[in-house]
Amino acid sequence: MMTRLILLVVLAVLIVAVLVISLVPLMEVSYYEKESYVITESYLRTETYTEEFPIDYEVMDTQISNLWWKSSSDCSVTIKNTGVDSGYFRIEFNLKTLEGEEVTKVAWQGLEVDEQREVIVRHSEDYVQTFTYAVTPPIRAVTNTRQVPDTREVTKFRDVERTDSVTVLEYLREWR
Amino acid sequence: MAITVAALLLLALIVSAVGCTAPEEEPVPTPMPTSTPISTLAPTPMPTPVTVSETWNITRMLSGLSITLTVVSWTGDEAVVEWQIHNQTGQAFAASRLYSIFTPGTYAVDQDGNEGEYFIPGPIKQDLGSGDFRHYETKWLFYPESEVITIRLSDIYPEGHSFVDTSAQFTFSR
Repeated sequence: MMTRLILLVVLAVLIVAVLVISLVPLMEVSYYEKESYVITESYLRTETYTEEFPIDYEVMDTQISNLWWKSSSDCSVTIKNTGVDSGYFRIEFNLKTLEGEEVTKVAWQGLEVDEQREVIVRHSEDYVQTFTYAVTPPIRAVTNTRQVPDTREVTKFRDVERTDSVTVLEYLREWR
Repeated sequence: MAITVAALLLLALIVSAVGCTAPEEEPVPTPMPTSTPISTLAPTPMPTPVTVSETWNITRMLSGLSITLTVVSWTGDEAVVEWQIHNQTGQAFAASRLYSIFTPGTYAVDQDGNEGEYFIPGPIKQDLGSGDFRHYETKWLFYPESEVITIRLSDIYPEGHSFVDTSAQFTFSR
């Protein structure tokens, strides 16, 4: 009888011990977990932009030709496209006649690369004493890229230490 | 009996504890830099220039050429004028002389006398044979207020010991 009682007590202690080991979180453990966070960072953004360049040209000659059989003059500007692109060149002639009248005439001349042409405007009713001119070359658009400072939001991750309570059994199985 | 029950209970507890699967590890996301979308400005819509063409049939004689103004196409203040040239001289008409009718022999003004800016047309390289037709185009830049346009074509040619200066006018409205 006594032996059985002792056996029961031992068994009860064992059961309690097993229950405690497997169910009661007694052990403190620490572990690392990934945590996201957002930062604003500076960076260089690639940006496209357009630059405009006037096409190069050369004025080779200017001339006034008076028509002898009537009061009329041809004024000319010989222009050469020395640039790298073709286009229409605007030539504004500001004429001053013998009688002192000021007349403006405008001609547009299309020129290929390296092409040269004589642009002539005619003034009737009077001879031209002198003239000035202004050439407006066509524009060549060039697209480039450049780096410009900018900011952006970036999501990053870091390890964060956490603690937890586990049972002795779990601790023995997974954390030791 | 009690011992048996206790032993079974103990066994069940041990088995349940040992048999518990380990908690699955949560997948750790791979760090990925997330960039904020860059805002791009939508380009301002530009009105597309509309070309309006009008058919005309204005014929004038100039030095034996029958020149007809056939079509005028307006794009904004730009006017492209189309011509039909018919050589009725009975002989070939020199290319250089024909070209000089259009450059520099051309003059275009609006109703206020403002001269249009002239786009020098492409060269004429071939003589116009007797009875032949030729299509040609010229272009001017006028002003927003230009409504009535008068184009004058002039030809100068030697005749005997003098020069003949003749011209023809074409008038049309916008």
